[in-house]
Amino acid sequence: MSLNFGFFKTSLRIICANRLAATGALIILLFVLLALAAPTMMRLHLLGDPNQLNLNGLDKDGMPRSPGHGYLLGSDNLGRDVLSRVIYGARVSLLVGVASMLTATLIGVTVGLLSGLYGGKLDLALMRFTEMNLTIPSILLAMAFTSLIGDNGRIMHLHPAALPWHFLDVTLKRGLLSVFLVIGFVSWPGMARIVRAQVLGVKEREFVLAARALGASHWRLIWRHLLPNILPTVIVLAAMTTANTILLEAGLGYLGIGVPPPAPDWGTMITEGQPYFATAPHLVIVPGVAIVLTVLAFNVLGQGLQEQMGPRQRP
Amino acid sequence: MPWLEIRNLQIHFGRAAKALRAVDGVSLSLEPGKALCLVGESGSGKSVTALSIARLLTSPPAVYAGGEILLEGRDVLHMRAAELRQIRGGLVSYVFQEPGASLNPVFRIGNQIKEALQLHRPEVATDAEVIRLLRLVGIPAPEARLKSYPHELSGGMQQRVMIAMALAPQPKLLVADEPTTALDVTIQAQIIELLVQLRQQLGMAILLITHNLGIVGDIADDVAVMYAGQIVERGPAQELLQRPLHPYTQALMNSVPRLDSETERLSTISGSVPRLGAFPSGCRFHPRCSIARSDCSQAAPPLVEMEPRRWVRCPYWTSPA
Repeated sequence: MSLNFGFFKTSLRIICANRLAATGALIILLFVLLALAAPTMMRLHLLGDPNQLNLNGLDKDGMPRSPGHGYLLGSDNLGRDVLSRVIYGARVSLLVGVASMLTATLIGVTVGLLSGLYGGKLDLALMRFTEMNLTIPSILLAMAFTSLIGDNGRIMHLHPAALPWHFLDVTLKRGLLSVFLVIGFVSWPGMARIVRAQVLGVKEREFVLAARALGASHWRLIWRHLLPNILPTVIVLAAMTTANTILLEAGLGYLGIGVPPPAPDWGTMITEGQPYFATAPHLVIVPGVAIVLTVLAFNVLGQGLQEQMGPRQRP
Repeated sequence: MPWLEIRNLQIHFGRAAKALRAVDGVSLSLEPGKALCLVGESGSGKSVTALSIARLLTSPPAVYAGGEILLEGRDVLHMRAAELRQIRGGLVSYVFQEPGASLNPVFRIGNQIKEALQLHRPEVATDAEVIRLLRLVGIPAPEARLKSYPHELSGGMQQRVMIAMALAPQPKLLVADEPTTALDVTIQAQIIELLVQLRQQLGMAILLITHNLGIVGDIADDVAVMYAGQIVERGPAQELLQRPLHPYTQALMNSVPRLDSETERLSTISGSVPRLGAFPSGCRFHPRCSIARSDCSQAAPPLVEMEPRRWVRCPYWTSPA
């Protein structure tokens, strides 16, 4: 299946046909657009600097300002613009969430495919390993991984050097890469088990035998006949997994072992705002709502896609 | 030496003591351009025999426990994976029972036929060749059908597409494993008609697996009747259908509905096919046989040429009245 225009048209049709999926996709699209536009908006002075310490941001008692007062969503204890921080936080959350989802999908699909396809002792070993992973709470495993990884930092340019597309820049402060790898490495077991079950079903279907009878090689069977037929499941799982990875990322941030400060991260923002909850509840509520909305959006998208594409898989 | 020769094939499922002997000593041969029908009830081992010609049974659980399958003189059971991929499609192609399930639901039929071409005749993997193949199997407006998904076609059309896919690599043998079972009767006749016509046109051999004796006479040169993993009777189609010698074949023929007789009830064969792994001792058919004698449960009868070209696995065979 080539990634041509028809593929996107089909995807769009599937998403639009289901109200749940459309709602989820719309919210995600909104967050993605805001996250992409953030640096541009800042340059045009539509948005404050998320990391600018600003005395004007504090009231005469040195306390955070509540929403209004020149700050749409108020300011935090260091006088930084909460709206700006939440939007910049979306960059971190979405990037880490999607990157960990891709990592988890890559591992999960590979393990599930090998397990389902070859069966026998390999299946036994891989599935016991997967179940072992499932028994450990992912946040604990992620904490353990995080404490193992060292701290490095650099800026990643996702655009070609010749083009000044700086909105694609990703600040890979110490931790961003490690955080998404860690989250990816703890999020794959569920995916592996479901992919295995799907492969077990699809590989017994007659068209696989028919392709084998025509002399198709192992790789061809996997790429042309197995993977395309489990793709709907993988897409649904990917959407659901993204909800989990974003939640996990926020959780790690909250525990102070996520993407390190001063990077605006939703989890970190909640931790920092917690002491001021009585006087400035917006410091906790705003990032909290952002997390809930994003996670909900991905879950709802996944659920909508599942309704639309299953239980009978349609082409 | 015949083009395809199966000698004393033994196929088991599972290992050692617990092995289930699905095929037990089957020998067959097929000449280029000839049509052979393999007839038998479910579980008689006919599909297993057919799939083993291109070694398509996955192993484990299947074990090729003995015998040989010689295709143009080469033993399929000892081929390397690359050689097997060459003969699959290239020499032997398959058409299966459920055309709906045999086509990959996520690809357009044009692409699926093209895949078969890419595997064996990459130089002609073009739309034009796909259209020619679709026309060959009698699909109307093939240009428009290229972009159809399998679920958009009727069962008969799906089976024609499957046949086109099987023919794409220009095989010398087409194995059709109950190709009409899932189709309704008028479509069955059309598909059989198509196979007959393609055989004349392309000169390929056909191995037809069926439990429907009604279609055997339309297509076969030779017939082999299987029961419980063994061939019980083998012979030229017309002779065997008109004058079956083995009591099992006779019973099968009697249970086919006929237009020219007055009987109100069809005769049946008492009992049911023995379960795999629980075959009776001696002759495997004796508990259900109308002419069984006491010693039938003792010694297993061999397949013997009782009349010229008529092989029967029953020492007490009789010519029907």
